[in-house]
Amino acid sequence: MRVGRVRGHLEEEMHPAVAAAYEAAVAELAATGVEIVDVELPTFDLAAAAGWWIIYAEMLSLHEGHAAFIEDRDEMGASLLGAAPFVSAADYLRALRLRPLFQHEVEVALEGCTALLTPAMVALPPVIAPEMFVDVGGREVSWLEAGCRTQVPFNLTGSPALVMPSGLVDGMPVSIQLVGRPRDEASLFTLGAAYQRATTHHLRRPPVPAHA
Amino acid sequence: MPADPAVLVPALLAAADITPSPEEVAIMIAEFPGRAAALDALYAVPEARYEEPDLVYDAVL
Amino acid sequence: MYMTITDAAAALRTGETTSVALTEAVIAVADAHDGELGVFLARYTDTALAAAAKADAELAAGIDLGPLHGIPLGIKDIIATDEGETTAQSLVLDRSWGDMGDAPVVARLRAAGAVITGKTTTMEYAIGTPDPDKPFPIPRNPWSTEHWTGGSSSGTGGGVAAGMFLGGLGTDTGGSIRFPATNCGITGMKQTFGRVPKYGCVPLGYSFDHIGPMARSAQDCAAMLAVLAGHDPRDATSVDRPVDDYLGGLTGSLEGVRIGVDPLLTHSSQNVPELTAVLDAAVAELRAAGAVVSTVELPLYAELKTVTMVGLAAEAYAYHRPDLQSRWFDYGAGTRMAVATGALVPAGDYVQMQRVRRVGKRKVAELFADVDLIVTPTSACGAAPLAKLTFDDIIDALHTPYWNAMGNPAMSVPMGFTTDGLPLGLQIVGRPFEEAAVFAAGHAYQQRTDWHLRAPALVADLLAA
Repeated sequence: MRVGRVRGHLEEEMHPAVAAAYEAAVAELAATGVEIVDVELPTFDLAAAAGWWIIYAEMLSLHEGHAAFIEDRDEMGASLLGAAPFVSAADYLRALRLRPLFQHEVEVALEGCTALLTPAMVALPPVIAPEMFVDVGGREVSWLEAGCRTQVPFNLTGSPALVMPSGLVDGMPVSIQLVGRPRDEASLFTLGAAYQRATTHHLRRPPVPAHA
Repeated sequence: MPADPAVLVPALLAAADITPSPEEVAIMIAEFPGRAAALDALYAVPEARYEEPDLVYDAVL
Repeated sequence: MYMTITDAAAALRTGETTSVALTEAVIAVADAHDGELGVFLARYTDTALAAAAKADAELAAGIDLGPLHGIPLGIKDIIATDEGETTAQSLVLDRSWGDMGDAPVVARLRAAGAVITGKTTTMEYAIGTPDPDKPFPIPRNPWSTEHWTGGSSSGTGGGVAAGMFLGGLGTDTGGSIRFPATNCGITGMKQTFGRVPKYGCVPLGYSFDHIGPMARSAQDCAAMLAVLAGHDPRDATSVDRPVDDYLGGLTGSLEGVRIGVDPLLTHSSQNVPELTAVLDAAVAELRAAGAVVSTVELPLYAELKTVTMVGLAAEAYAYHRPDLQSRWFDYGAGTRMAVATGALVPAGDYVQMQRVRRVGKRKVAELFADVDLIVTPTSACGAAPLAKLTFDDIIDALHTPYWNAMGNPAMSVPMGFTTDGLPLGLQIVGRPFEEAAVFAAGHAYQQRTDWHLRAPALVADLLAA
């Protein structure tokens, strides 16, 4: 089987140790007999933005009646909801119209491949703090932006995506993401099972006692 | 208290980067409250509270 | 030569007339009155006569392509055809857009042997009001040239009424087939959303747009829809399901059909006093044809009209924004103001419209458990005088937009005249994909009445020739 490693935007900014762990995971996947080839999703720097426009718009419709109680929500919820009114109907429709273009890019990237491979996250989990930022290699960004960068685009395209542990960095888990064709979850499970037969990352347990 | 249409409408037009004549902007300002009220009425439909939007979306292109 | 498609098709087969004779007759009407009525943006006289000659040769050779074979039709100029450019009656539309050639609907009409006479006037991009400052014809109503045809399928409506073709294509986003149909005294069908593919048509509101037939009678519209309906994957909203036999269901009887009437009198400030009497007389005919009539109340009427009118503006604005930014004054005044409304709509409100739409569909479906069809006036009044046109008044008078939010099939049939001699229309609505029932009711009504066969005085002499 062949897997397309998505070069470009989704892996160009990474925490250095997370990046190194990702390279190791790519090698492990290749060692299971999978051929790894480089592919591109040329405009996926826009896909996350388009995804957020849709999320904001749909969230605001649901929460409009409660917008007055915005202070009662936690910081993240309040800031997301607070940002929502600035998405116009035209922005929302533009994002919907772009959706098939992103779907088409995934379709092209998948030509000759069973699945695409990306990091599941380009940074480590954030430290709990009033302002949560993470290191993406040379600069810090909001954890939400870093956490969703590789994931929201595939909510937008509706692709099946499987995230699997691929190691530990500073004691925290890092993972890879396999993205497949619509309705082809089966191939992702096949690839994932082969990876987990050859590795033990998924068997690691946190040091917290199970029944403390 | 909703935002003043005389402020909001020019701001939205500026954000959209479209420049109607002053007379046209005045008409848009005058018409804004009626439409805003009509849109508010959509939130007063009780059955819509947990309804999904009627949007067609398919993961298959 | 003021014939329905149905009668013309019969006359072509008995040898009473030929397609060339039919086509020459409609060309003569257009030569005489198009300058006054503003029906055409482009006339394809030579290719129409060639298509007519071909149809005559085929029919003579026993090749019969069905009821549209050899019938002259007009195409609203937001739909692409092989013969020439598509303008959307706008200075703005990139003329290379229409290079794609025949839209699927036009290709289907052509394959059925239809004769394409030309491209008809529209409101610019299918929205707004006529703008005398722009270099395009002002559509005038054949029943009274001081009055508008209605729009946006103005030229197709006026052209059918004046006898410049026997039928044609309109498009309907908030009522743009049914509005000129009621104003011009003809029949117009907006079938179920997705039933007819829209590829090759300039969009207005993606989730509200329909291309549909306009002609003299329900039977004519049924013959056209039988050709137009069917899936095309190039339109993402096109539905893949079998097409019913529309003509086979035209029995003339409504025995046992349950019809709910909503006069909608409280939902417009423009009711003409005679509306109630005209509507009552139409309902009496339905009852006489066997229908069981009751009174109903359309749920969420004001809300769903808002959904259509504001929703289509938002969708249109998403399409037009770059050109509105750079070419505001190239758009007609009515068009740019109607579309720019979309710039003032927040995304959350747009999503809310789509949620209310689902609630509406459920409530309307519940209503349709008790009745098979719903009838309302198409409009509260007759055609508006061109001197006093406002977009707000038009929308206030119309009872069409509700059904664009819902997607049900809705047809307007002529049901009489105002005391000023302007046509009024009856809107007949069915369950989704039950066009056959709507056509059957319209046909039964038209078997008992002749409003749809009346000819405007302006063209009566020519048509009688």
